[in-house]
Amino acid sequence: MSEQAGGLLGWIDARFPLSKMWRDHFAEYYAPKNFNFWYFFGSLALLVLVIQILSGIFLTMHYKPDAELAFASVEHIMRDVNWGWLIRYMHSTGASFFFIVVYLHMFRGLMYGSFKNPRELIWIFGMLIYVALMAEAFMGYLLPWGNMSYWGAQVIINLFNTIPYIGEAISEWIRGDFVISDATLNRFFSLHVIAMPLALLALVIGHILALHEVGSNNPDGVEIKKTKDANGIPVDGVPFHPYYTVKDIFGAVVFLAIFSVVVFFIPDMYGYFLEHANFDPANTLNTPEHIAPIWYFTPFYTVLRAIPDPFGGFVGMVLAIVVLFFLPWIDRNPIKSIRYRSVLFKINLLVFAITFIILGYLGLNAVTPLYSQLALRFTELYFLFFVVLWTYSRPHGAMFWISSFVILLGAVTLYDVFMNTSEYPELIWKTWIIPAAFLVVTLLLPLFPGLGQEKEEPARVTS
Amino acid sequence: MKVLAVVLVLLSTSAAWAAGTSMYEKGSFGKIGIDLSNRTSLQRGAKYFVNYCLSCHPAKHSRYKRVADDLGISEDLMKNNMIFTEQKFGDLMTVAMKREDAMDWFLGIDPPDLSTHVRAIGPQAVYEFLKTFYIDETRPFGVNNLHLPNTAMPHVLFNLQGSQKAVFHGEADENGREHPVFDRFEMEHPGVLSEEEYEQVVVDTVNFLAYLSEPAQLVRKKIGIGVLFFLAVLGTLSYFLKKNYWMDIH
Amino acid sequence: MANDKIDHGRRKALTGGVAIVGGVGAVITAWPFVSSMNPSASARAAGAPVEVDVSKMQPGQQIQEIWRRKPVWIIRRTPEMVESLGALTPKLRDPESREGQQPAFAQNEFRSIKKEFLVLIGICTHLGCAPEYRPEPGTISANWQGGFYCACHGSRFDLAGRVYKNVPANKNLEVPPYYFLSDGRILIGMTREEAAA
Repeated sequence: MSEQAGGLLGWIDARFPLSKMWRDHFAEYYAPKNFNFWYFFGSLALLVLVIQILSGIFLTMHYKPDAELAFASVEHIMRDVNWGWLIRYMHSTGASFFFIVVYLHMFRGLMYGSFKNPRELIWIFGMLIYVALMAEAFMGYLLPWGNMSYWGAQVIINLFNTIPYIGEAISEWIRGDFVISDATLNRFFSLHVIAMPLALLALVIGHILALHEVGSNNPDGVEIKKTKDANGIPVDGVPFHPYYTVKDIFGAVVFLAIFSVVVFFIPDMYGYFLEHANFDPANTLNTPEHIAPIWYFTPFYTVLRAIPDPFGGFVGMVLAIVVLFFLPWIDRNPIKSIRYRSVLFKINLLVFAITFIILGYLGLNAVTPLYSQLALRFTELYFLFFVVLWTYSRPHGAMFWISSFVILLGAVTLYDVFMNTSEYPELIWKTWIIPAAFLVVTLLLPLFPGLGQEKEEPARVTS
Repeated sequence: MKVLAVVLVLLSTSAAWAAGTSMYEKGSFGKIGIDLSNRTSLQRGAKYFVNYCLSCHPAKHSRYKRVADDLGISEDLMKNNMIFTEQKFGDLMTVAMKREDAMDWFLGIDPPDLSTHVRAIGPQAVYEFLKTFYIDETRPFGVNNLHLPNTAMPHVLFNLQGSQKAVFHGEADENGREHPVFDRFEMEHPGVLSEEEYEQVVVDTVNFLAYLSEPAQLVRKKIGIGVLFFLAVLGTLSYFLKKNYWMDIH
Repeated sequence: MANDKIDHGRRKALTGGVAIVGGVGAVITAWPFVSSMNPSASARAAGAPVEVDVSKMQPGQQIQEIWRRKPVWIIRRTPEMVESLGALTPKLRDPESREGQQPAFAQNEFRSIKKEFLVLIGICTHLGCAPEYRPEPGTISANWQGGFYCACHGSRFDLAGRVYKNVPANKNLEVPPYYFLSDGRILIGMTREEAAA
């Protein structure tokens, strides 16, 4: 209500809150002034979403969701449609970059505690976006109807078979046939081009509205709304526009340059973004030599393979994703930012990041006895991260640390004794050192003062 | 554990052979250097392709006209010398042979489409495949292949290369089972081309196939350089704009 | 927050620079997307020029070809048909083919290269129905001179595809680009000049 514009804008404002929305979300949305490198990835995720929707609209004009025609229609786009190759590479590269950006964005949240009170719902919205994005990417990957599309989808949908009693009925329902077929392709197309994008857009709006309701976190984890000037404006805040718009424009240009290097010079990214087997059409009789999901799914795929029981593997994979939803209630430490948390917290988070990358690497490669043991060990580290995170929520006595250590290492060891099916016992005990060492560091070192010591949070942002 | 060097004739029933257990060192026949800027090589490759490959292998996602336009081949030259069927200039490079006939002739294998398959296996594989045919009377077409053991494809370039036989020696694996390991080729009946000339034919053909698997390669890197240059300008400007605004904040 | 040292001129120039360069980039980026909606290589190949053998046509006969998925008619007119054209002038809306419904070579009374052969696109210029070839005089109405009749809304055209006055259609039937490869062979879809270029 601060100003009343005349003319066309005034006419619109009397009927639609245009100026008000501009003020609420840009000109008078106060963001902390100390955002660092990690804070680019939110706006970049939005940019990739726009790239995907735009390129997707134009691909849909030429693509044919028919098992007989789909592969040829993609080649038609690549060769016959004017600039079709560019639009297709933008879309295929965009898919991988979406996950790169989202993974970095999520890691930012872990570092600075951006999921903590009062931002739990922002995190939940974000997790829903991530799950929707995985579904969107999975269904989109079937559409080129290459041999990897076909067999990848076959393997992943067959995961549902492992659910007791109802599994086969569910996977048949998903496919609409007894194997992946034209019916599957047609429904995946429908879901990929309209259902999931609509869901994604709605969730993104929810994510941003929730963010703008409580305000952004920052690398110091300080609530800038606690310190306001006489006008009620946060002292450490700057209006999103123009300060963060110009900053994000610069970030977007740098991003686009990296994106363009892939699109124009290495569109298949050596087989990681476009798998080579997918340049052969789907062949229902001939499996590619080595079926690997596309890289952004491989950490969870490794969790799946690490557990020898099929249904157990499926549950493990689902849990690996579900556990992330509960992060705000697992890490209950009131200190948000990594800057003021203990050395051991930093080690735990670093190990988690490395674990995620190793799980991803293992999922890209064929199973060997060693790799399958490593998959198990890093799956254990993946889940132990959350347990350790929970123990770091508040100070504990020596008894707590020692008993936690004994219980967790006991659980890991008992699993090896009764469940580990590896034919190479020496591999079991050699790799057992990995979770054991992790637990020694994270649960026994807190006994020594200093390493578990947290720093005092500042009242205002530091830079 | 080297056993006597023997000339082995490949048995098509031998599982170890059929599975293609590394009988020769990949890459030992040289690395193909793809050079899409070499237009005359691409043009020669196109000629070999339509003469020797296209009668059985389609390139059904590619059009004659596109190849002609991209490689600087005139419409008349293309129509008169490179289109052997009733097809039109703008048509896709399909083959007249029916799929069922192909399956009959080639041991139930449908000759793969060369407009996409080369991108799946990579040009190096085609290069080694075309260089490692050797005489094997047990095979339906009298030839076998080192790169793709028991291939269903005849050696269509044999009158150019000639017929060579392969010399193997036996080597025992860790389980004590003996495997033939490739030693060398020996030319039995020389072809019309010398070794160097045949090498050039293979290089040209593979070069063309590499182009055919993704025609956009000819332009995309050039466009990419322009795009990056543009983004460098925009990036510089937006960096100074950001810096200028952030002088307000302290 | 205000700072006296801020160079507002520089800020304006930089804002303008980013806006202009970014705007140019946006327009250039839009081009591939716009261009992708133009006919693809497959559509262009399907719309390639068509060769027609007309040497065996009987006088008065009509044959139909397809060019760019449109019906193209070739009519071998009898000498009587050709002669009748001149007398119709007052009844026609555009007897001299002033409107751009034909290549320059057909801007004549016969609307063709050779008087004998008429080449037309068989789509009514009113709302795109397919007219019929009705050469027999007196069939559509008592004073019908022979020509093309569109049953959809009653548009009438003469034996050169010229539209009559007072019918729904207001333009002559379109003549496609074509030329004679030899006496008996026509190439539809390209003029001789275009073929030479």
